[in-house]
Amino acid sequence: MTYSDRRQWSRRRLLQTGAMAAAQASAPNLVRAAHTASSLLPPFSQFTDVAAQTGLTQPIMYGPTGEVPYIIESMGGGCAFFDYDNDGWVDIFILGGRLLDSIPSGSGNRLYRNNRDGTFTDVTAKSGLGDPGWANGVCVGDYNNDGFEDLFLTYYGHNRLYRNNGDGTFTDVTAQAGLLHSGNRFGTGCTFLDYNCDGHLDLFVANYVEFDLATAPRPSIHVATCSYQGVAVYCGPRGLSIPTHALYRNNGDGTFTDVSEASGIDKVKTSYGLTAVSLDVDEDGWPDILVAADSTPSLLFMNNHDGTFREEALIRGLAVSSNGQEMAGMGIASGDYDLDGHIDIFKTHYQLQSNGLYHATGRGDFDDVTVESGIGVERRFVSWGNCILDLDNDGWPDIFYVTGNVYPELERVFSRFPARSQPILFRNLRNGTFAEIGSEAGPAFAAHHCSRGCAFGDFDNDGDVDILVMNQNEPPSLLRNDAPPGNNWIKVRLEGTKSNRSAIGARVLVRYGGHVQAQQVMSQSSYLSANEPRLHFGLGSEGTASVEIHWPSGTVENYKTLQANQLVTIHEGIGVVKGRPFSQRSK
Amino acid sequence: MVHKLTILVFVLLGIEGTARAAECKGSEELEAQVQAHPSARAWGALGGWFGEQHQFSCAITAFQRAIGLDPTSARMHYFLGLSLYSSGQADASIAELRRSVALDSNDLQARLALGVAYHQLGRAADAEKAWEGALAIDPNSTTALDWLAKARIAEGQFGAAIELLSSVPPDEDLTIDLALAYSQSGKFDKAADTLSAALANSPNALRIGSALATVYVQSHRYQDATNLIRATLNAHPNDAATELLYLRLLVLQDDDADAQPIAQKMLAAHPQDFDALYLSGVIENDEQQYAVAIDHLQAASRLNPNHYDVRFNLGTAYAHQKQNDAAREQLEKAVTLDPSKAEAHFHLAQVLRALGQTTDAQAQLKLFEQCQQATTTLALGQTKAGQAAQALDAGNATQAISLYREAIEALPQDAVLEYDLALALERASDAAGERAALEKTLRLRPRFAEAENQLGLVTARAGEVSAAEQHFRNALAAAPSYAEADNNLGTLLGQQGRDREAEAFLRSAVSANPRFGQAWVNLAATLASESMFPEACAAVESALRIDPRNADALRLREMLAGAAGGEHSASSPSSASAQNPR
Repeated sequence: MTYSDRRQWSRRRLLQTGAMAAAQASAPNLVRAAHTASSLLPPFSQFTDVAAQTGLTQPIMYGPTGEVPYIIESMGGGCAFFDYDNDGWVDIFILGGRLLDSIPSGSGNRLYRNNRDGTFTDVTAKSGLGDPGWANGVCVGDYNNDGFEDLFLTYYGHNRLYRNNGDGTFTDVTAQAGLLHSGNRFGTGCTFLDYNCDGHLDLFVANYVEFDLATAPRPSIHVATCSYQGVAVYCGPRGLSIPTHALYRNNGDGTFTDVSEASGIDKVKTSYGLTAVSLDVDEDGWPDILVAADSTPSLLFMNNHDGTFREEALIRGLAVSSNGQEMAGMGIASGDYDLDGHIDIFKTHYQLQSNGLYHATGRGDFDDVTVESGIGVERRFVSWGNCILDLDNDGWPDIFYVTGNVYPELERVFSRFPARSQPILFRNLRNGTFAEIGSEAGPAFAAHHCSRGCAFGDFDNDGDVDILVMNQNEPPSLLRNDAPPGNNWIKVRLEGTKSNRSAIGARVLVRYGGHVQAQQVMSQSSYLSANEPRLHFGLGSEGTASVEIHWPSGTVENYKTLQANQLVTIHEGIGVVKGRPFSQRSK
Repeated sequence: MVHKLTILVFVLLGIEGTARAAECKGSEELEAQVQAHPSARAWGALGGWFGEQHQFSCAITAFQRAIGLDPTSARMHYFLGLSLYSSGQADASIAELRRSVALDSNDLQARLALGVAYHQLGRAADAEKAWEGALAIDPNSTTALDWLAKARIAEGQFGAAIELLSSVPPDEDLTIDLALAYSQSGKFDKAADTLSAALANSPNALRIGSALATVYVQSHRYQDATNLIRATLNAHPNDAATELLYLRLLVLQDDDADAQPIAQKMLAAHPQDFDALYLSGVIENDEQQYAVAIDHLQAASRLNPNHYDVRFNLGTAYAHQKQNDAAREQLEKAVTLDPSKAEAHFHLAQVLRALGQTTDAQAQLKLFEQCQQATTTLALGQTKAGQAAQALDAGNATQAISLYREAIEALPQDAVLEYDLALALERASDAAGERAALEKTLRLRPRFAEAENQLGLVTARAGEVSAAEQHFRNALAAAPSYAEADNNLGTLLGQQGRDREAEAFLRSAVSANPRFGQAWVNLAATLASESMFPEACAAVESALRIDPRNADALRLREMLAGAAGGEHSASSPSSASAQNPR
């Protein structure tokens, strides 16, 4: 510090900071124009939190509520929409945690069976999935191709592979599958993927930090990485050792082999990994792996087609912000917001940072369009689970994400950093920009929670995308979507035959009204969560759509002029098969 | 720097008086007095009058006449010295001020003035001696403390500055000096605590508030800094320095909405001001107003061509305008000015790629990754070090040692970590380990004064007297005002019966830090060994002024009283009271 030489100061760009007033006022023209444009569009969907009336009343215990001394108590957890009993109605799975010194009654994960009448029943006890621990992420995939979706859960401690027995129960087969590891790990993101295109789902696991509770540092205002704005908070991730990540090859017999070293994955020890998604970034038919990373460059493992990967996030525009700053990457959403047939990426970040929207160029790299898109004006909250999905079925994918602070201690000192905050919704204005519309979409957007993962799926089979939200130390939120009448849609459910049965990695292009929208079947998305496997496309006023499928096996299939407002179930090599018809809700 | 020679008659700015000697005419009354009774006193009064009128040439003449009548008047030599300094004759002023000090060694003002004159001529060591002399007369002289502390800080002797100021009377300048010394040595929380306490006592102290805001920013406490500066600005809306600080803070946090109006106002008032141009340019760049940003940043770079952030922002503004050649030029300058800035390498890589220079672009990306990796590694090492410090504070030396080793594994070239490990090993009574760590510290940073001092203690405890002496001397060579090293060397020499040498170093210790009670006691014991009993008693009294309950000082005083009563005393004060080096 030199008081007289002011020129010693230089601009810090480690965090993109900014007050809310600044965030709103710094792009006044953009925000006002966006609101004007939004008001010219038809009404949006209305979202209502129906968790209580559907039976989702159990609070999800995850760490303390007042002060959080350790990072493991803050990061979890994800949630999933998946159909565990194959009845055509998506069920709900939510990851839970515990306390450091105890496991309160009701702790642990929760499985809810969809009763098909708008309600759910807690079937955790029977399922065998309730094991309490520091669960973080979930990825869904039929690893043994037996027709039932299995679960892989990441933990601080030891991850678990749960085989779906097909009878409402799951068995922990971690050991026999060869997925045990020595020592504790802080597993976070995971994704099933068929990286070697042999028809069997392999498994990638991201790790967050190297952490030992016995020796972990404690909050301290005297240590930069253990304090925030002068308030003592949990240490990390900066200042904690960086782990490697893991890749397991499916041997086709229910077991896996650790190929982290052989694949080159474990050579990369640069980043604190969180959500992992498998996405064919360069559209060469081979799945790549994108990992959101906290306070370090995000990772993009490009598939070399020979069992190995090369890391290229920096040169492809996904590692850091457009200013070269390492962001706190939390959740990853993928979707085609500009309907150019290429899958874009939306990554959630930290408070006082813009979340990042990355436009796919079609050449395997990305342009950071955060500012131009209008997404960048919102920087108030720590942001987590997210999506790029068409929530109002107007044919243009919107952006949604949930929020919640990591430091509950802060709000006692600084009111601008609340512990609980509202979800955020940006409506697609159909011109490459978005407008934040929040409360226009219903009372759910006024509710404040400390949220983490969220999953997207149509739980009531009424043709629009509902939202499940994991809230720490509260019951989850289930935001029922009431989409505006008159907007059409189509859902696509894929089942591989030569490809993996879950069709994870299948890229689908739906054409309608001169547009083309791309999506991919994924194992994990959002923040450490899993969306339902039926791909949902809003069609606006179009009554038909054509569907082009790029299967992981390399096969390409086309289905022309499919009628809107139906679920189309397609088996690889067979075609459209009879699926359960949707009931049209009366609007 | 604001200095506190407020009692001086003249402003020490070398302002030439307007009257010439030939035209000197004082007040009627004083002129009449020198005519009637041309005494030194009368000439002195006339000289003082000329001084107040800034007629320094006339003042010089008058004081010279006074000195002619009373050559032994320390006061007249002092005033003549001030007059000479004020008229730009610093060299001549020193001679007079030295005469004043020689004639009256207890004249505080003369020593202070002498220090300022030496400082003006760039004679830092002489200036410090003058101020140390002033402190010997009055250990609470805030002026002397302020000058001396600033000198130590300027030399990078932050520890010495902290030692000097650790228990001084409340004073705004000294508080800021102490906070500056703390922050320069990375102790931001202590800096903040010091300033917060002062601000609590004096809520309207503008400079204290600004200093505290600066420390908050250095500690990443941006919210606290913003709240404080806003409150300060509300109380002092016309204070330009506070407004500038506020603007810098807003720009730092990308709060363009609040920053831009202030910047525009500042630029309108001062269109050629570097800060106004630079900060306006940064805001405009952020707001995508690239053309005007380029204009302002170019003007700023003409005023200061070596400002990293100006070059960086100019480069990115050009890049956004697709003026890639200009962008490259600016970004290349930026990375030359500060190669550690990852962002500059990143943007330069993008520009080079746009220019088709793929190989160079890849090289810049590599550098970018290295910078990021360095940041991550630094955070890891600092966390481990912070944890280690906490463990040591909690009394767990073993855990601290383990954590320091982990920190060193991350940051193997960090001499301070190695030194901290040594201190932890000392707490664990691992003398061999401590020594090895200190030796490694010195290999990493050869002029690390604290490490040399500590190694001196280690070798002294091991009975390696020559080695210990060398290490203490090395410490003093690296940090001449290092009172602890002075004391340790003096004590070591005293233990060997080299009293005269010991005395010199112990005097140096108390001169560097007049509040160093133990050094006063050691000096007293050494003086007593040399049978310099009055001086020894004076030294003991100095120790007791600092702490009336100092047991060693009380015991030594008793013994000296006995020794004064009989010349040869059975108990030697030096053996009873001289502490081992610490």
